[in-house]
Order: sequence, then C-alpha cells, then structure tokens
Amino acid sequence: MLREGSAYPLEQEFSLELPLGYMPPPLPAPPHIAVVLHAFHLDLLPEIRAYLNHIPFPADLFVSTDSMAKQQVVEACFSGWNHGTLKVRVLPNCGRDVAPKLVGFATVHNRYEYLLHLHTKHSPHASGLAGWRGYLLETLLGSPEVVRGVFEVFAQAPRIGLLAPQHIDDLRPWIRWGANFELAAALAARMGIPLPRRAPLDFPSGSMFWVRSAALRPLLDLNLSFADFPDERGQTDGTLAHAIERLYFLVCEQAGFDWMKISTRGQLHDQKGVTAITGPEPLKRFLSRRCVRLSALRDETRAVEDHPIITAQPAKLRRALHVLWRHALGDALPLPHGRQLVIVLPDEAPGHDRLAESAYAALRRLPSGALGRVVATPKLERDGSDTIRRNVALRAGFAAGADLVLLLGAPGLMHPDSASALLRMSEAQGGRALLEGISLPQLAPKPVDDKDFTISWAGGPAIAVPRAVFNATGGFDECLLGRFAEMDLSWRARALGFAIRHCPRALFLAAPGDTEAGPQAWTQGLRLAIKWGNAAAKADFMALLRELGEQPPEPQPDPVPVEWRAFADFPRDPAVVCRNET
Amino acid sequence: MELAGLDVVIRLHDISELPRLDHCLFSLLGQSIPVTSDADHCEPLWLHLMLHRFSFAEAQVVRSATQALRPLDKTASLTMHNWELPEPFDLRVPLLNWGLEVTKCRYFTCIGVSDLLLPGAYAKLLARLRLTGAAMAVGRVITQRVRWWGDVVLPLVEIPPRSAFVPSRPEGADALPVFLLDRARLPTHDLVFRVGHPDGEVAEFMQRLSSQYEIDTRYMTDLLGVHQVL
Repeated sequence: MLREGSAYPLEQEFSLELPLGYMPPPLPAPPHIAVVLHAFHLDLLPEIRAYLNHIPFPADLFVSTDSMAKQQVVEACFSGWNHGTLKVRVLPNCGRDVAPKLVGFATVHNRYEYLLHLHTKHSPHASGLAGWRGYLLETLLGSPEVVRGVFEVFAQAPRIGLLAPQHIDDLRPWIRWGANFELAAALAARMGIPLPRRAPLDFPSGSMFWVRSAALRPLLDLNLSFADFPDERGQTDGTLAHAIERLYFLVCEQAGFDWMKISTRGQLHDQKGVTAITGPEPLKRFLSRRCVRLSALRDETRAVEDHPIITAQPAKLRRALHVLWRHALGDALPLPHGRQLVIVLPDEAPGHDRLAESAYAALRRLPSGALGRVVATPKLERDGSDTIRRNVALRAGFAAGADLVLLLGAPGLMHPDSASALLRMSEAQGGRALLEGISLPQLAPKPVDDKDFTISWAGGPAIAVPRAVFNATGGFDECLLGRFAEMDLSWRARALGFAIRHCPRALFLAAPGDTEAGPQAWTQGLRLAIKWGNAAAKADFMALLRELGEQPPEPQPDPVPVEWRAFADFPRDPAVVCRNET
Repeated sequence: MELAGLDVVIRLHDISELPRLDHCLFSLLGQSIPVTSDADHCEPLWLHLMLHRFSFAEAQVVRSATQALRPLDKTASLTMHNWELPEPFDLRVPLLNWGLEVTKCRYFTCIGVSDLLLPGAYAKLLARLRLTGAAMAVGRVITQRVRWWGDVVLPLVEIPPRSAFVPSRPEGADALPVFLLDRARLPTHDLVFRVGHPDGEVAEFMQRLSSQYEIDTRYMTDLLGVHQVL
C-alpha cells in the first residue's frame, strides 16, 4: 500500500548526466526556443543572464516582473541580448512564478516548440537550500554542452517532453503532496488525470525545466487566469502554484510524453542513479528503459518507501560548491581571441616602478589570444579628486581599446596570475560584472556569497571595470570620494543589471590605507545616504556631523530612482562604512 | 661570510600546501626593505624553502610553481633545500635547524606557509633591531579563519587574538608573532630549535630567547601579519 505523499523507490530514480559523454551531432535546424523567466528578485538577473549565454542556439527571451520600475531594471539588465528578441511584461504579483509563465505568457507556449522555464529563485525560508538555485541553473544551463545535451535528448527521443533537474538531497523530505493535494487533485481532475490520495509523486522541484510546449498542453488548455491564483503573501506551500508545480510530470504524461530528470556531475551529494551516457544508442536504451510513468505506478498496489532523507556529507558539499566556483571563475571557458585587458597605473609614487613591472609580468601570463596593455593615468590639467582621476583613468583605458580596465589604486605588487584571473572571471560573466581584486592579506573581508563570489560592492586597491559597466554608468560619481564612490558605482551597476564579484585569484599587495573616519567621511556617508534615499543612514551621519559641529554638505546630490534603492546594501553602522578593508 | 639583507626560512611539508605557499611567497615579495642610505635600492631578501622529503617530481612541481613569482622582486632570491634522508620521521624541527645552518645573513626569521605579512613588516622590525640593538623584534599577528579549495581561499571573519602576546610568556597567544632576530647579538648555542614544547618549536624558540635577551615589542600593538587557519 502506498502511503500519502510517498514517492517511488530510490532505485527507480535514474537521472541522465549532462553534458553527455559524447559530442552530439549537429541538429538539422536550430530549435525554436523561448526562455520564459519570471524576475521577482532582480539582484539575481546578472547570474541568470550569464547562464543564458550558454544557450548555443537562438532563443527569444520573455521576462515577467511585477512593477514598471522593475521592468526598467530588467530591460537594462538584458540590454544587448543578442540571442533573439526580448519582451518584458509587467504582470500581477500572484501565483509565484507559475502564473506569470503559464497565464501571462500562455500564448508564447503556442508559438514555440521548446521552452525553458526559469525564475529568480530565492529560498529564504530554508537556508539549507541556499545553493539550490545554483544547482538548478548549473544543471539546466551549466555550459553550451549541457544545453546541446538537452536538445540531443529531445532529438533522439521525440517522446521525451520534459527534462528537469534531479532533486537536491536536502530537498527530499519535501517531495510530498503536503498541503497541496486537494488543490492538485481538483486541478488534475479538470485535465482528466485521476489522482488518488496515495498517488506516487515526483515533480520538477524548483519549477525550472526544459519542456516541449506540447507536453504542457493539458495545463495550458485549462485557460487559467490570474484570478485563479491567490494574492502573493510569501506562502511557501499550499497554493495553486505549488499544486501546479507538483503536477508538471503528470501533465506531461497526460499529453502523451515521458519526462526524465537530469544531473550534472559533482552537484549531488548522492550520485546513485546518475547515469553517464557515451553514445546515441546507449542514450536511446537508457531512455527506453529508465523512464518512469507516475500514471502507471499509480495503479500499482505494492508498498513503496518515502523518499529517503540523505544526510549531506561535508566533503561532497564542498565538491558541489567547487563546480559552481569553477564556473564563476571561468576555468573551463575559452577566452575569445582578442579580448583586451588594460591596466591603468596610479600616479607616480615610490614603488611605482615595481608595480609597473609586476603588471607587465602579469600580462605576459595572459592566455594565448588575449591582449594586454599597461597605461599611465593621464595628467590632469588642474587638481582634481581621486574620483576624477579614476574616471580619467577609465576613459584612458577604454580609449586604449580595453574590454576590461583594471584600476590600480596604490603602489604595491600585482600577482602574476591576477590579470588572467580577472579576464577569465569577466568573461564568465559575459563582461557584465564589476570585479574586485584581493588585497593580501584581507584584514576585514567583505561577506562573499560562496556560490558565485557575489559581494555588495567592489572596492580596494584593484577594481576591474568592463566596458559595458562604464558605458552604462558613466563611471564614478565625481561628487563622492573613496569607498563611497566605489559603493555608489557598484550599486548603480547592480541596479542596471550588472553583477559585482570578488575575484579570489586576483591578488594584490598594497599597504593598508588610512581608515576613512571623521568629518570628511561622515560628509561622504551623508551624501551617499541622501543619494540612495536611506533615511536611517542619513540620520546616523547627520548625528555624527552634529557631534563635531559640522554642517551638512551643500549642494546635496540628486537621489537615484526610488526603485534602485533596494540595490544599496547600506551598512547600518557608519563605522563599518569607514572601515579599512586592505 | 655574512651576507647583506635578511634570511627567511619557510618549511613545506606537503605538496598540497602549494597554493598556500604561493600566497605566502607573494606576501614575502612585498617585503622590500629600502637601503637606509639609498632609497632607490633594496636590501636583498634570501628566501629558503625547506622541503620535507619531496620526490624529484614533487620538487620540480614546486620549482615550476614558484617560477612565476621570481621576476617580481629582483632583490629576492629563492633557494630550495630538499631533505632527502629517510630519518628522522618528524622533520618539523630538523628543517628549521637546517635552515639556520644554510643561511648566512645577520638577520634571520622563519615563517609558515599559512602566514601572510603586510607589506613592509620586516622593514619595520629590521628598523627596530637597528635602532634598539635588541636581539629580536616581534610584531603582532592575528588569526584568521579561512576556507581553502584548490587555489581559492575565502577568508571568513576576522578573529581577534584571545590575548596579547607577551614575549616572555607566549602561552595562550592566539597567533605567534612574526619575529626577526639579529644573530650578531645571540650566541650560537642558543640558535637552535628544540622539540617538546606544547605550542611547538617556534614558540619554544621565541620564549627561550625572550627570557634571556632583549626583545623589542614596539610592533606588538601594530598588526604586521595574519595567520590563516582552516
């Protein structure tokens, strides 16, 4: 007898390893692909864009979000999308990611043969699942070879309708109907799918997958509307969207297709059932023998166990993380011929020659085909702030033909592998990330997202600015100084859809600078707080200035658009803002 | 014959520590010490890498991995010394004493591959030795918890030391200070590392010297380095 919410035995849980163990033959014609992406958490868009660049075919992009303000940010983030057309729509904030995709973009499913369903997945309700998004994206879009493998499966097996990532082990306890069964059963009945209380369950956990549009036809034909979905209140279970997520495989079967789960090597703690395929014939054999039909299991009466709870093993967790790191660092990525890094040296000062020599040494170790130049910061016609000098340096670097400009802020030493590391990491982000080098040792390191090295702002003695960031932002705000200008540039870049990353292999030596504290720092902090509309920080800095008998700065900066404010990770403690990182 | 500059001995016990060695050596190459009478020139830095019974192939890997760093400092030289004898099993102390034997400068120090120095750390200590005539100068080092994977290191939060280092009583110090000693002010019989101290041979060495000779502690209040722990 099947227990409620049970799944089928783990021995039947085969998944296909991608990339395939052979080079798939070219497709007779490029597949007709639409990417349907619901963008609620905009800070994740740079990461998703970088992954989407791995699709080696034309692909039209349909993005939904929930406000006009967010629409502008989304459009900025995907500006220059050259795989196909881009359409951004503002849709009601209900039905999680499911309603925008199935209702808002229902007609897109009629026009394309293949779809990729994605969304900006945050899992704050379960911190143990923090790496889930990275796993899903890596499995669906980890490399062009992964995507070619997906379409090889679709080509070799026309009856495969949906490919979804295997469940991460931490999630298995939640692979059950839970509070969603009644809603799911009612909806399934409308599609003609019998769903007894003890029906076995499997589904694309995370709600991201590759699919033939025909495999979703029973669901699309229900003509659901936004009114069918409850208002968004941060529900983590028990809504129509959660019920639909659990029905995708059954819908696929009802449409006459099979489905299969996919995995990427090293990403799961437990590799049981992950199957590597070495050729087209083994692929066909695997798919013919290992596809599971939930609708067939539903009719069986033998007992099956609950999904096993697999304890994550630290060593394997680290291995999974390492796969994401390699991806973020661009380890496996070939650098396109002619990519150019320009290193702009600071004004002459003691130690300048050593820094220049180390910069040349680093450029000599660039990969074959990459270009590098060292230029000096042009002399200013009259005195100017460091921020003005930095903008002059950036303009000089891009005028010299740079794709990426590395600004060195102080005399010191550059590690010979730093130039390569920065160029590779920049390329891995599609040239859309502001990068921060490391000042060794790191005395007060910023919090770094250990999945992809995201940081809230890039600063310190070595900042690498790609051309796209410079073109979009215009460089540093010359009304701000030092790290306040760095924070401002980083946050504007984030608001315009760029990533901010820490490059752990780009090492620099620089003597620690002075901590920025005192009236000048408080004034700068106040300017930044006013510009970014942070009332709490503004009050803090005003109070600090009042204590010193100082007046607020005049003129005050123009504020950024309100919708950008969410991109500013303003530290609550002014002392932290002024802390010395080097 | 005494050589100008200072000697730094670094022990490498395991080839898997190569990424840490790279970071450590890089931080050492930032230790240029301007000659007092001629700021355009630096005193030589003699780096001695003591290998713990490495195979020929492993030694070649180390040589190749350190090659890229060599052009960074023309005043620094790196020499590898590989202990090939089968005995003793534990080479922690013998490698340091061998380091004392093969080095020829007046000023001597040793450092672990998990240690990173701030630029100018040795210059500061050397200046103190010359100014005060002390036998040894020490500087503050903090412990920092990090995560290593391959050549990627992610520092976690800064961890302040549990207690300040007191040269005559290093027990309980969170990280051993960085030190530089003046061999001209120390008798040869005291220049030896010994086994048996619970905090290790370097702690014993520093404790013993600090109990008998003048130690300059000016930089125990200034941070000069970081000791990384997993």
